[in-house]
Amino acid sequence: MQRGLGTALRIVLLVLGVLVALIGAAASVLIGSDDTAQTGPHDVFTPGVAIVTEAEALHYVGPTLHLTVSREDGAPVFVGVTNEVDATSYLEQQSRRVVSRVQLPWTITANEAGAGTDALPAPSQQPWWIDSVEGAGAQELVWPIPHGRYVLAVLNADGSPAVDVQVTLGLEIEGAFYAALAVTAFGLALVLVGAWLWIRARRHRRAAVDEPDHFDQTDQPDQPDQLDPATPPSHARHGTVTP
Amino acid sequence: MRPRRTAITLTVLLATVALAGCAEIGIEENTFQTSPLPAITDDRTAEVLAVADEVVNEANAARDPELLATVVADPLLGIDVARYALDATADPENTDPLPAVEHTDPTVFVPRFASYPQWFVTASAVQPDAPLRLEVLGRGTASARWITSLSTDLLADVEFPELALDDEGYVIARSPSELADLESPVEEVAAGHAAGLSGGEAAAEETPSFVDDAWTVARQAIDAQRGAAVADAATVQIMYEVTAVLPQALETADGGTLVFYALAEDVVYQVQPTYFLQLDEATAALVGTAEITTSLTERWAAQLAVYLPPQSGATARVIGARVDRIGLIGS
Repeated sequence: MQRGLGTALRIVLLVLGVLVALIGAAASVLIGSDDTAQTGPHDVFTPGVAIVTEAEALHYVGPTLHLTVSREDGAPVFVGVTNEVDATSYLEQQSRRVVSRVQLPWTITANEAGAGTDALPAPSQQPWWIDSVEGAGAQELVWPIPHGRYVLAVLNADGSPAVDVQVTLGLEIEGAFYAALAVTAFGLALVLVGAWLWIRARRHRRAAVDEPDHFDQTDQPDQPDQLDPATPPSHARHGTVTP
Repeated sequence: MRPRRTAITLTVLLATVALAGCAEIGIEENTFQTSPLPAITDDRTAEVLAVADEVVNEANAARDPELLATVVADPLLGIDVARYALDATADPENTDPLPAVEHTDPTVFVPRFASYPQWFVTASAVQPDAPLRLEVLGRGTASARWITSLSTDLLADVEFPELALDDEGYVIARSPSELADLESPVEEVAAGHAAGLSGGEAAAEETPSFVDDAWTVARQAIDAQRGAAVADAATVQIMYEVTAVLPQALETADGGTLVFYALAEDVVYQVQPTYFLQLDEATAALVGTAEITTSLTERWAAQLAVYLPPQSGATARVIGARVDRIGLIGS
């Protein structure tokens, strides 16, 4: 029974170690030394006036968001983040694409909401954006995500409908690269420990096979039938005997 | 047994180090907790007022009601547009234009809101040697322009009520439901005030009284003088009515309320037989004749900021008022 458990432990350690090491290594490659996990560019389109996130889509706080957006036609684009109350009022009933969930590497849950397609007042003229960028070509919004109800919004710079953009999403997590390396190291350590236990067990088994040649009869208990059932097998005890 | 224990210890140690490293990353679930936001920041207020000044001065110079309407709403808009019409009659060439306004060193009373519409109150000098102007600005949506809807001049020697503040130091707006739940709704108070000024019956006991209010007493004295000025030549009838009650109101530290409303006053002179009224040159220019033989109606607009005490029947006081003549019809 003990031997069976030991074998199982060694197998678990080896398999788990390989898995953890692979996950850690993959994460290290994905995150990179800039601590930023990135996905994209991805095409996103709405016939409406904006692409926005629901407040609940920003489920975690701590990472710094890197949202890079460019328009397919190279025209100016606006990317901003603001309080939910301001975004809701600004968009009113205008048609827009609402992203309710983002799963990495890139699965988004979104739906079209609203009805109007009149151009919105130019977003850059609104003073309540917490942070925003605007211009032609790729525009990157960098924003540390805090607690609260915030909305990310992507619009044509002139507020016109039909927003056709390419989006690259990055999450910068301070220390993530080193954490991924630590996970890799931990996985490798598990593998090493498992391998060491495996090798050691094989050595013991081999020693047990060789035992009759070296066994000192005086070490044998006088009454083998009085052995405690919990006492480890003889080859295990033998390991403590100086040859 | 010892090597296995060593292996387990090593594994636990490595796991601890790895977990500690991951814990350092500092990712946590969003609490989604959010507080109401102030309607405007101090920096933005100066910007908003400067833009409004620019538009108002341009509109005043051109007597352009449409331009004015981009930054002013009723009841103030109606009053200013009526003034434009009177001024256009009295001074078609605009040789005596309205003085320019410039808000300087504003004191801003900003409530916090969880939705739109939003609004704030500002008190600032707008012209040299003029009283501080107390104004209400609001907007219906996040992208709308800030619009001034009521403008009063703070009265000298009248105590400005201490306003209640929330835990972050912002003034507290009375919600529509709170206003509706007041012992005396603002509409009722304003109607009682108008009735009192018109010389009608005293307001019900539970409504705040204006009997001892300085502005009200002074206004009644002015109205009484009108009769004296025309003596036996005409009978004078004074009628006040409520033209607007703003939904905006602030809570005061004593539990009272600072409210805003507008009244219109019609002064009707009925000329007695064999008499006529001789008008001064400026008034004659507005009416179109210098001699009134039948009747003359003057229409005035009063924009008021009024402190309502928390106790029913206690004395209310007008803390800011602006009275403009907005109509003159005679024959």
